[in-house]
Amino acid sequence: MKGGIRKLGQSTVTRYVLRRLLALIPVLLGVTFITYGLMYISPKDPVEMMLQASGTAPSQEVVDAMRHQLGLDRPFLVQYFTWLWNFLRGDMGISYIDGKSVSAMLLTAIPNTLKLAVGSVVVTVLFSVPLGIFTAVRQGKASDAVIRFLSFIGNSLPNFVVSLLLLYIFALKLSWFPILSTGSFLSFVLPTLALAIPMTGKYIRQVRAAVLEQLGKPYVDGSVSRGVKTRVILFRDVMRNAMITIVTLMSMSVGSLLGGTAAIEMIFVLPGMGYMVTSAITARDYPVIQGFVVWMSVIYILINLLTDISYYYMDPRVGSGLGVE
Amino acid sequence: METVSASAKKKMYFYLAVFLLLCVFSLFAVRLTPHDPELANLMAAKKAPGSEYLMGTDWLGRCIWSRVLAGAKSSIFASLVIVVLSMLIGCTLGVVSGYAGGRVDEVIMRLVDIFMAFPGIVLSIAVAGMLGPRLKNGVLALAATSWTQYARLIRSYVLSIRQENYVKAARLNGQSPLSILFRHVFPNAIRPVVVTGTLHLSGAMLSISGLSFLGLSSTSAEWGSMLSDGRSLMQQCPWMVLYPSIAIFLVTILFNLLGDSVRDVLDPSGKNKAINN
Repeated sequence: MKGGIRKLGQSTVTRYVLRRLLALIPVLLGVTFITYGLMYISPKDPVEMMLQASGTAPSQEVVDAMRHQLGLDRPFLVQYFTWLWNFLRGDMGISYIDGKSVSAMLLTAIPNTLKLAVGSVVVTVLFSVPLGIFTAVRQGKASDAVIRFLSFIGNSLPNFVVSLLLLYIFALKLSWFPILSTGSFLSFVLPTLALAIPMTGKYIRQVRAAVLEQLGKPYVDGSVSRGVKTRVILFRDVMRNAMITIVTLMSMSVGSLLGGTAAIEMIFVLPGMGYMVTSAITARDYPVIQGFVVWMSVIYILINLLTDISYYYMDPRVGSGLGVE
Repeated sequence: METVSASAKKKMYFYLAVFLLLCVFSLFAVRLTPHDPELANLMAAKKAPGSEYLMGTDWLGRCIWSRVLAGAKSSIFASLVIVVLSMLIGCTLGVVSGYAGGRVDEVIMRLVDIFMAFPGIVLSIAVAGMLGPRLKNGVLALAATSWTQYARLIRSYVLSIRQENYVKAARLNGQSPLSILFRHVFPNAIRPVVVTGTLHLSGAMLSISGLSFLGLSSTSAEWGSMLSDGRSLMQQCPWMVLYPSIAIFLVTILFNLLGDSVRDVLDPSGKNKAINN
C-alpha cells in the first residue's frame, strides 16, 4: 500500500468506531449482569437493611409487603431486566438510606472525582514526561540515578500514605492548606498531589524505558550522523514515537483513578464518587453501589475506546493492525 | 538469547530468600507480640513510644508494635494468596482457552473482556462491599479482578506454542492433551507468569491495604485499617499512623525490588510491563 494508510478516509474510522461500539454491547450486558448479580448473592437482605435504616422493626408481613412492592419477589432474570431497562432510561433507583435518587447523587459526586482524577493525571504527565526523557538522555549519570531512586520510592508509597503525610506536614503542622475539603482550589491541591506523587514515580520509569527504546533505534543514529540537533531529534521524533506509551499510561492511570480516589476522598472528606460509595457500602445501600460500579465501568470503557481511536490517529500502523482493512 | 549476569541472579536469590523469610515470619509474627494486639487497655491509651510500648499505643491502649506484627499476616501473606489465587484461576482458564480454541476460547475471552471492563479497584470495592468486611472477602475480591491478566498472558503463549513442530509431533505420537500441556506447554509458559506474579505482589499488597483502609477488608489488626483508625488522631498521636505506614512502605519496596530482579533474570528483554492495579 503506497501513499500511507492514513488516507483511509473518514468512513473507515466511522466503521471501526461503530464496530467497536457494537462489540461493547455484550461487555456492557456482562458488566451490568455481574453488578446486579452481586447484590443477589449478597448474604444481607436489602429489605431488612432498608427497614432497619428507617428504624422500623422488621416483622415478616412488613418485609414481605415491602419485597413485593420493590419487585424483589420476582424471578432473578425478570428483576435484572427490569432494573437494566430503568437504568437505560436514567432511573437508577433510590437510595435505601435517604430515599434520594441515585442518578442525582451520582451527578453531584462525579464532578469532584473527575476534577481530582484529571488534575492528578495532568500533574503526573507534566512531571513524569520531562523527567522520564531527562533520565533517559542522562542514562547512567548521577542525576539519572537520583531521579530513578526517588521514583522508585514514590512508586512504593500507596496514595493514602502519601496523603496522610502531606496532610500532617502541610495542613496540620504548617497550616498552608485546609485540613478538610471546602471545595476551593486550595483544598484540591493536597489530594491531587497525593494521587500524583505515586503515579509520577511509576510513570517516570515507564517513560524512561519508552524513550530509551526509541533512542536505540537506527533512525536516531541516522539523524545524529546527519548532524540533526539532539533537541530536535528528541522533541520531533522520539517524543512523537513515545507518545503512544504516554497516552496508554494516561488512559491506564485514569482507569486506576476511577475508584482509586476513594481513600483520598475519605481522608480529605471530599464528596466524590469514592466517598459516596464507601458510605453506601457501610450502609449496604445497593442501588448506590450498583450505580457507582456501572457508571465507573462505562466511563472506563469509553476512555479505552477513545484511547484506541487516538492510536489510530497517532500511528496508522495500529489502525491497520486492528483490522480496519 | 540474552545472557543474564551472575550478579543479577544473585540479587534475585537474595530478594527471594528475604521474601520467603518474610512470608514465614508473617505467619508466626502474631506469636511474637509482647502484648495482646486486640486487648484494649484504657489506662495505657495514647502513650507515646517508650520502653514498654515500643511504638506507642492507640486510643484504646492497644500496643502498636503488637498490632504491626499481628497485621503482617493479613498484609504480607494475604498479598501472596491474592497473587497465587489469581494465577491459578487465570492460568487454568487461559490454558483451556488457548488450547481448546473455538467456541470455548470465544466464551472465556468474552468473560475476560467483561472483567477487564471494571476499572482498577471498582469491582473489588463492590465485591468486598457486598460480601462484608472480612480479610477473606477482600482477598477474594482482589483475586476476582486480577486473574484476567494471567489468562490473557498464558493464552497468548499457549497459542504460539501450539504451532510449534514439537507439539504437533507430540500430538501425532498420540500423546494426550493433558500430557502435552504439562510436558511442553507449561514449562515454556511458566516464566512470563512468574514474572507477572512477582510484579503483581506489590500491587496486591497496596490494594489489600487500600481495601482495609476503606474498611472493606480486615477489621482486626491490619496495616491499612490501622492507618484508617489513626488518621483522625494524627495530630495527637502521629505514631499511630507513622509505624503502619513504614511497614507498608518497607514491604512494598521489598516486593518491588523482588519483582524487578525476577524480571531482570527471567525476562531480560523486558516484555512484561508492571501491572497497574
